[in-house]
Amino acid sequence: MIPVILVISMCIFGIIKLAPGSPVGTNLDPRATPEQKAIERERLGLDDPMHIQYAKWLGRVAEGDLGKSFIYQKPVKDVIGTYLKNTFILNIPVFILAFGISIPVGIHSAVKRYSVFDNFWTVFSLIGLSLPSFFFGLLLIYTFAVKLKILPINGMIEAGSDSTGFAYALEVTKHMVLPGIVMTIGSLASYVRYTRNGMLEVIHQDYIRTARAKGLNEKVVIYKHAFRNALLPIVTLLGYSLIFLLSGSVITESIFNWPGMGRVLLESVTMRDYNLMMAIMMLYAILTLIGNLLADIGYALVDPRVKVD
Amino acid sequence: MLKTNDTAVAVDVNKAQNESIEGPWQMAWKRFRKNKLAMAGGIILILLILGAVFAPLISPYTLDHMDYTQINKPPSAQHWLGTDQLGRDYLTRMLHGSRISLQVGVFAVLISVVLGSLIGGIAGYYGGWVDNLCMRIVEIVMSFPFLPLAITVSAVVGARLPAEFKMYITMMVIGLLSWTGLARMIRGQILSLREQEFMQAAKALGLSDKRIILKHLLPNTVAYIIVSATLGMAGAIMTESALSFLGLGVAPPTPTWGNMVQNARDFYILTNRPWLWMPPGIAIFLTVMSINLLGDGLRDALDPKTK
Amino acid sequence: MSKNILEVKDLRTHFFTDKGVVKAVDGVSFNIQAGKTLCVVGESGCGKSVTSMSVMGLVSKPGKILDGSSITYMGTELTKMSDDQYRAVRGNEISMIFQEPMTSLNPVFKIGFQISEVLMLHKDMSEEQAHQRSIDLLNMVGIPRAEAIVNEYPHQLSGGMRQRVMIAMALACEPKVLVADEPTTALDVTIQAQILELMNDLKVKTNTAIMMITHDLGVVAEMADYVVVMYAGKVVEEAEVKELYATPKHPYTVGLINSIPKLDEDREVLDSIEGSVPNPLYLPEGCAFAPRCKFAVDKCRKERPELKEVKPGHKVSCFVVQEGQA
Repeated sequence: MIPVILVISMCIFGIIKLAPGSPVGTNLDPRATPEQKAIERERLGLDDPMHIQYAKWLGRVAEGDLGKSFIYQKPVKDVIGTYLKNTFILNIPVFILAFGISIPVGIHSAVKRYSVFDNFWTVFSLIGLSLPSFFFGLLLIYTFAVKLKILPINGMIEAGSDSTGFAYALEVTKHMVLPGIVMTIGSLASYVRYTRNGMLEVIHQDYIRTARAKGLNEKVVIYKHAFRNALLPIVTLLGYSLIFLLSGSVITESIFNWPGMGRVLLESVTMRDYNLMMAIMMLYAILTLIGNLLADIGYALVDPRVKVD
Repeated sequence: MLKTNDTAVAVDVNKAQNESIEGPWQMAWKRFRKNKLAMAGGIILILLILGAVFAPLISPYTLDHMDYTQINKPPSAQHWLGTDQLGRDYLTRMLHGSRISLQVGVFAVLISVVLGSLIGGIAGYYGGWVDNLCMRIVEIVMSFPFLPLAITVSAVVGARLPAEFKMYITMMVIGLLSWTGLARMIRGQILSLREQEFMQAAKALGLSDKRIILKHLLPNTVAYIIVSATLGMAGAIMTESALSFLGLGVAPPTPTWGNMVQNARDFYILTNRPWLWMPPGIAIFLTVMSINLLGDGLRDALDPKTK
Repeated sequence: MSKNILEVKDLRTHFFTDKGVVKAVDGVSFNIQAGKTLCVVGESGCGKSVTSMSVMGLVSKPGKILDGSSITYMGTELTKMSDDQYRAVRGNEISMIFQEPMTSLNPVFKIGFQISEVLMLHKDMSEEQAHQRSIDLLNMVGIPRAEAIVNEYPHQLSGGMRQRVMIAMALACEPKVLVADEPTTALDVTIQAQILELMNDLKVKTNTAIMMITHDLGVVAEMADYVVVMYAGKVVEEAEVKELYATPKHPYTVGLINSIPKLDEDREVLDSIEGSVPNPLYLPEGCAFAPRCKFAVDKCRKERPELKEVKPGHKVSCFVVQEGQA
C-alpha cells in the first residue's frame, strides 16, 4: 500500500505543478519588488529541480506541515480539521439512512421479485440514477425553501446565528434536511439495486434449496441462510461507500453552501490555493485506500473461504 | 476403442416442431425487442441524436442571434422556451446544447472504451509483468475518487488552455478517468476465457492464435463492451453536466445543458426565471434515463443470466 | 410383503410458463416399501427430478401439483397439508439429498452447525446434544476425524466428503424415506462406488426406504429393489430389478439396456436409440415414444397407452406389448 501512496503523491504533486500561476504570487503582496519575489522563490525552493521540490514537500508533509492556505490564511491542517467535521456531520446520517433502507428493501425486492414493491424500487432506482444531483438539489430548494418556505435555502446554520447546545443542533438539523435528501436518494438508487442483485444471486443457489429441504422456516431460510451470504457483497459496499459518499458530497455542498470539505475543494480549485488542493486530494486518496482496505478486511471476516493475509 | 459406423448417426425426428436454430445475436435481439422500456429508451435516444444533428436546421433562430427587445422573457409564442439575459432564444440554445452534451458523452466514452479494452486486453492476454504493470496503473487511477479528481484536473488543465479547448479537455478528462472498470472486466473475461474448455477445444482443433482471438475471445467481450459503453455514456453526460455546472467544464457562450443550469446559481434567476434552468435539467434527466433504459435492456438481452 | 410407506397415485405436476404448459410429470404412480430402494430411471428431462421435488413439496412457481394427484406418506395425504405441516415432515420424516455436493452446503456455516440445525429444529435437541449427535452422524457416514470436521467449513472438504455430510444431514432425524436425486452423478467413479455402498449399509442399519433418481443403469443394478422407468413425464415400465434386466418389455427400456456395453460381448458398434427426447412443450399425440420406436404401429401414434400389468409384478405402458406379447 505504501508504494501506491507514494506514487499517488507524485501524481498529485505533478498535477498541481502543471497548474499555472505560482505560489509566489499567492503568498506575497502583489506590490512586492522583484527582489522580494526572488527571495520568496528561494525560500519556497521553486528554482530547485522537480524531484528535490517533491522530496522537500514530501518531507514537510511527513512532519505534518501541510503548508498555509492562501484563501483562509491559516494552516491547511486547521482548515481541513474544521471543515472535514462538517462533511461528516452531513454524511454520517446519510450513510446510516442509505444502508438502513437499502438492505431491507433489497432483500424484500429480491424475495418478492417483480412484485409491485420490487417494481416501484426499480423505477425509483432508475430515476435516482438518472437525475443529476445538482438539478435535484435546485428543484428541492425551489420547492421547499423558496416557494413553500418551510426549509432553509442553504448553509449549515442561519447567517449570523450564535445559538448553542440544543438550539444549535436543531438549526443544523433543519439545514441538513434538503442536502441530506439529495445525497440519500442518490445513494439509495444504486445501493438498492446492488443489494437486490446480491440477494438474487444467493437465493437461487443450491444450498438454499437444501435449507428448504431440511424443513426450515422460510424466514430462517431467507434471513439466516441467504442473507448471511448476501452480506459478502454488502460488506464490500460498506467499505467503498466511505469515499463514495465523501466525494459525492462535493456537488451537494456546493449547491447548498454547506461548509464542508467538498466546498473547500471547489474553492481551492477555483482560487488556486495549491497547498489546500494538494492536501485535500491526498486526503481523498488516503481515504479511498482506507475504504478499500476496510472492504477487504470486512470481506475476509465475513467469508470463511477467504484467508486473511 | 470401438469404431463407430457412419450409419450410427442419430436422426432428428422432431421435424414436426420445426424449431429453427438461432444464433446468439438473433436471440439477443429478440429478447431486447420484448423489453418495451428498453425500446422506448432507444427510440428517445435516437430522437435526441437526430435533434442534435439537425439542430441548426430545426432551431427557430441562430445561436448567436440576440434580440435586445426580448431580454429575459418567459416562454411565449415567439420564443417557446423564453429568452435569456442576452435576448437569445432558449430553445435554440437547448438544441445546440444537446449537440455539445451528446458529443462530449460519445467521445469521452470512445476514449474510455478504447483505453479500457486495450489495457484490459493486453493485461489479460500477455499476463506476467505486463499484466502486473497494467493492474498497478489501474489501481492508482482508481485510488482517487472520480469527481474530485475530474474537478482538479479540469481546473488545472483548463486554466492553462484557452476557453475554446474546454470542450475537448472535458472529453479527455472524463475519458481518461473512466476506463478502469472496463479494463478490469475485460482482463477478467480474457483470463477466464483462456482457461475455458472451448479454448482448449479450439487449440485442440488446431486453430491459430489470431483466429482464436478474433472469432472466440472477442465476440464474448463485445457484449460487455457494448453494455459498458452505453451505460458509460450516461455517466459521461452526467459528469460533463456536473463539471459545466460548476464552471469547470464547457464554458459559455458555448451552450451545454450543464452550464445552462448554472444560471440557477443566481438566486434571482432560480426563483423567478425557472425557464432558464429547469428545461436543461429535465433534458439531462431524460437523456440519461433513456440511455440507462437502453443500456439495461442491452445488458439483459445480451446476458440474461444477470437479470 | 412389507407395507407401503409412500404411495404416489396419478401425480401430475405442470409448469405454467409464458411459452405454454410444460407437463413435466403427467400421471405417475408408484409405491415405496419400508427398507426398500425404488429407482426412478430415465434420461434428462423425463420428469424424474420434478417427481422427487413434488414428493418433498418443493415445487415452486410456475410449477403446480394438479388436483387429483395423491402423495400419501404413512396414510397422510401430503398434497393437502399446510406449509407448516409439510415443513415438519421435510428433513424429519422424508429427507432429500441432491446431485451437486459442491454447492449444496451453505459456504458460510460450519459443517457441525448445518447438521445440528436439523436436529435442533425437528428433535428439539439442545446445542450440545445436537453437536454430539452430529459427531456421531459424521462417524456413521465414514468421515474420519469427525470431531475436527464438525468445526470446519464446506470448502475445506472434497466432493465425496461433502456428499457424506449431506447424507448425515439427511439421516439425522431418522427419516423413513430418503429421496436421493442423482447423488453420485457429479462424483468420480470410485467415490461413487463408496457412496452407494454407504447408502446400502445405512439402509440396512436404519431400515430407511430410498427413492433414488438416476439415469445410470449401473447404479440401478447396484441399488434397486424395484425400478420405475420414466419417459416424457410418464411411467413406461415398472418391475423388480432382476425381472427388468432379464426381460425388459417396453421398447424404450429395451433400448436403454441394450445400449450398455457388456464385457462378454464383442461388438464394434454400440446400440443407441435413434432420435432425441421430445420437447416437453410440444408432446406428440399418442405415445410419446412412438416417433423413436422401431415397433410403433398406427395406434401408437394416435392413442396414449396406459400402464397395465403384463406379468405379475411387471407393468408396461405400450400397446404393442400389451396386445401381442413382444
